[in-house]
Amino acid sequence: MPLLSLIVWHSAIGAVLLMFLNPSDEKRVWKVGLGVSIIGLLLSLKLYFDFNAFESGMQFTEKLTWIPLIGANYQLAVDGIAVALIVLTALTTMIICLMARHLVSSNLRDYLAVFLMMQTMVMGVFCAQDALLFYFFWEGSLIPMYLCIGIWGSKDRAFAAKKFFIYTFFGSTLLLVAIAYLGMLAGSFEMSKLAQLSLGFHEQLYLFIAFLLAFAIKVPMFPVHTWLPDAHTEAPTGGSVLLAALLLKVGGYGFVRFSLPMTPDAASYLAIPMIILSLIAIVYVGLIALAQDDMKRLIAYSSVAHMGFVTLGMFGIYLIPTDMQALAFNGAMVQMISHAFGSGAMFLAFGMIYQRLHTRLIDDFGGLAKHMPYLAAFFMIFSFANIGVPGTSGFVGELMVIIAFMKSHAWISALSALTLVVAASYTLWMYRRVFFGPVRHERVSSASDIIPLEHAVLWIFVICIFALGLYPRPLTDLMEKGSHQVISSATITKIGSAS
Amino acid sequence: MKEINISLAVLTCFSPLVGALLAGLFDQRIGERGAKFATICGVSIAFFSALMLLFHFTTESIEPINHTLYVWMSGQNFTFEVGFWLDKLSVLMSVIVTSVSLLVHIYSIAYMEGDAGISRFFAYVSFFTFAMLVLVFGNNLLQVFFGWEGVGVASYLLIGFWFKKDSAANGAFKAFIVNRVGDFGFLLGMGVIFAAIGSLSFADILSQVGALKAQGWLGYSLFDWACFLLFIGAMGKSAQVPLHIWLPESMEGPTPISALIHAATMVTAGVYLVIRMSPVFELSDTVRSLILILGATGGLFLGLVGIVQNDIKRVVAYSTLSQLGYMMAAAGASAYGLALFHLVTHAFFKALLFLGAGSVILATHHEQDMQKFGGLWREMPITAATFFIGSISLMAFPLTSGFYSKDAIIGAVGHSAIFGSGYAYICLMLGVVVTSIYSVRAFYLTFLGKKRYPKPVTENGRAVSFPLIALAIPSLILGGVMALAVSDMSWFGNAIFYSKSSIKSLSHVFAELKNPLLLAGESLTHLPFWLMTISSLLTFWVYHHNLQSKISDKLSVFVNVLRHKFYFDCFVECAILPSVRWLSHTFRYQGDERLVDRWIVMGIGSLFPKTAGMIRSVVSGYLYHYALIMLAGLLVFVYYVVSV
Repeated sequence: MPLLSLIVWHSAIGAVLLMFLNPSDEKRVWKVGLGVSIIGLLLSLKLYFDFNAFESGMQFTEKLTWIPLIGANYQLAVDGIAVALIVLTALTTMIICLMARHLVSSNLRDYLAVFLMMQTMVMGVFCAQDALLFYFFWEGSLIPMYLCIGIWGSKDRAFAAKKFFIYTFFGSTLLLVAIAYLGMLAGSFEMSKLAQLSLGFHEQLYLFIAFLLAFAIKVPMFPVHTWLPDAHTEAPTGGSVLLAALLLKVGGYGFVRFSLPMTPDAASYLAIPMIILSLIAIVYVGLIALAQDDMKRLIAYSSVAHMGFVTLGMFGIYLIPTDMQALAFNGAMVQMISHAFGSGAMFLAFGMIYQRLHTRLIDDFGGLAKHMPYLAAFFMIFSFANIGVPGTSGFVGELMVIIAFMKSHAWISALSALTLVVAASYTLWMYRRVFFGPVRHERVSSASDIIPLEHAVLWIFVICIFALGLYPRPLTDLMEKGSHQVISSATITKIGSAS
Repeated sequence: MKEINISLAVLTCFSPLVGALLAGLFDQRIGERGAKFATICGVSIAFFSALMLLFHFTTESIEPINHTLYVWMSGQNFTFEVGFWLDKLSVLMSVIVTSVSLLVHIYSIAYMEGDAGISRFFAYVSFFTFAMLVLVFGNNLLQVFFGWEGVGVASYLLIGFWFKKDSAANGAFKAFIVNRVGDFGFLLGMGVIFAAIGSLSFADILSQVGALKAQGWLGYSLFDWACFLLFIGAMGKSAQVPLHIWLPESMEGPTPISALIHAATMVTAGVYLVIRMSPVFELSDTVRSLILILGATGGLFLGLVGIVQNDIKRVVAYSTLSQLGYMMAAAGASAYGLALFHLVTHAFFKALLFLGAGSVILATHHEQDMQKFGGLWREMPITAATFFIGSISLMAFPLTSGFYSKDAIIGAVGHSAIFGSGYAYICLMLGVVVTSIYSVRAFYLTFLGKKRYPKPVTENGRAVSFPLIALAIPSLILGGVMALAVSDMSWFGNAIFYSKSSIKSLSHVFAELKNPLLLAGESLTHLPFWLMTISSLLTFWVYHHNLQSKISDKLSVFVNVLRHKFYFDCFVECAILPSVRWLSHTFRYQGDERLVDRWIVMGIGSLFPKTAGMIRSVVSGYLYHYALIMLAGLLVFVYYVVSV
């Protein structure tokens, strides 16, 4: 059974099926959409349990000829890193579908179809082993997100959708050029073959920069992060959750599959600038988050700051001694997963507030804990996860990255550890203004607390946050072999080696 | 036997958590009474199993037990575990934590009566107890950090328990952020130790402490850095100058919390960390000098601030800051056993003082201004008597618990030879005077003199009196009993490490504790006793004759400085906060929105319509034309690059 193909395409089939349903029969539409996403979750769990974490190399390989003229194949395979991200994708989509009927008032059918399409594209990115196929899914994920912001977004949705699309599309064009160039050199688009090509230093440098533009915009890294706050503020709740939990990870995953193994010498050469950009993201963007007056923008900026640890850990492997490389890189990977729970949960919980009060401005709130005590409790847990309190998911990745640098580059550790203070400041200062204090606006007192469905969904996040924070070992064990593979191919020089 | 002790430790640690979860998650089902019952049961079980552990460890000679519960994370060359480290130190700490916690639980039944969200309150307190036990029992630094942050979270939640009050919400925020500054140091300190040793477990740190002697950065060794960074963590949690500013503001929380968290247990976590890491701290004279100087400074100057406070809780809070300074100074002088000794006695008498203050506050319907009390001893004899016992123990009156620990600390600092010990000795000696003044003042204004509170007051019932009496007993006699154990420098086994030179200089200070009665008699000829007696009588005389306003007018310059708490808060509010605000706003408006977004991104974006306009005059303007041109251009470009 082609498990990976099923995982990738089942939701697309589901999306097409949805189109045959009567859009006014919302209950049925919702049931079908949710059913498809649950199938996705079950399939990905089957993948997780069937996957052998102790074996290195790619597993579940599927290969078919796609475009023989240029040597492009339909080739899917996964390693531990991909498996973790696939389970995350399925879980996130399931949660979004579960909440869809509650959150969306118009075009529920199309909304579900868009998110199921998105799942296909994101799953495809994580499974693809052929560079052209990767690119296909990569660009494919833009369209559903564009539609999602453009149709279901708030007031300035048209501008935000356009900015999102042009920004990310612009980044992707050079990715295609780079892939095409590599493909023509190798005569194939198989990513493992591309990684073995012998490339000169300058060649690698140009390729790295082409990759960088695409992936850095997606992550997003400083200074190409400004599309994210706009996209987040205008996107509907489901879109924000998906954007934070998955689409940013696609960028990080691109670095793992392209920049590090295909252009290791350039990555090594540019490691210091990349690390400085990551540190700027952590400290400078964190300080910007402190000055936000829009709750969603604040969470978006905190996303950028947290993703700084992903790039920091990934490019850190070029600086630190070999015995610390695995710690830093695995830390980056854990951060990719844990950020989904912290940020995604915050966006979702915020969506519940927004639905009741229809404002994003922090000053419009105050004393919300009095009228929404349960939501306040959940939001408190998510805030602590976002701050990275030990015992929650947010702590694990940050700890690993911070202590990995200590041996050789203590100044990087010290600067990145500033997040302890900065992240706590912007998160709790927001919490204090939104939930604590006296009730200042009449609107707030009209808010009713969350309903059982919302309880259930938030509990899923709470369980994930604590499971990952209290017992991260299953996750790190799952990804260890994959990380090892990436590190070893990322740290050998390709200049002059036999192709 | 080992298995029994491990099971007892598991029971001690996790039964408060079970209580907290029951009260927090099922409060709708079990109701307020159920929540109180569940949490008190949990903490009682914890208390009795901790007592049994202590009994085992004091009566039999048991080697430290290192038990791994589960592996948190592992890699090729590192393992992070969650587990228990049981020795006399951790077991003793667990008894302190659970006993005070149990009494505070009972006391809170009366104190929180009629408050909304009682289940939530009890759940938080039990969760705090759990986190503190995780910290105390941890067999590695990482787990200590888990508990460390856990108690920080619990403290944040409890200070902000009355979240509708702005002052409570701000106090909670301030406490968490200042603690986080300390945690920044703790995390980096762990990093240094991990980088040098490759492990964070106490067993490895003990056996490989030599690896820290390697060269570090900027001319200091790795152990200097590790100690310095860990001490920053300890400064945050144990409220040492200049990270003490959060503690007075934490008084916005309910009073039982101040007794448990901000007097007896959490704030001593920093002292505990230094004691636990004594093998590393013994290596670094430089950092111990720093600890000694900062501790002694806090011991004197923060006590001084307590003299001018009128809020009864703030007086006790500043007294806590001052006593924490004494503990840290003892650790700085290598007298870790004495630091622990004072930690234990202080836990009881300070919890007693807070609960006594709470009793007064409760009886006067949440009045905290001492100037409005006066003469309450007639109507509240139990509170007055127990508060008196707490006060004389705090003032180190001979034979009380506080006397043995504090007197020994002053002696140890006097015999220390490291840099700054002379200054520290003077500070601690003057601190005795200061302690006497604010203690007598608080007691006089509250319980003696003419009654100024307009309404009749009464004692608050058994739930309040029982904890007061239960705490008064150890405040009086525990010191004398424990002195016998502390006097043996090797009683704690390898939990506390002394270097050879420390043993040499300190052994006779410890030896004096061997005969507590004799020591009490001898103290009548010592300077601290006379300083205490004279300053107490003077203060009493001043207040009895109502001369305080005249004195404060004469000394208005100093009083002003004290009323502004040495301008620390002022510095934070006038210098640090505005600059952070300025920085973040500049980054937001000038950096991100203007430079990055408007100029660079949108600037590039705006080029496209212009270019498109130029092209439009040349080409037809249909979308597919552009697409074709783009594709062709791409192909040409790729062909060019490949062929070159």
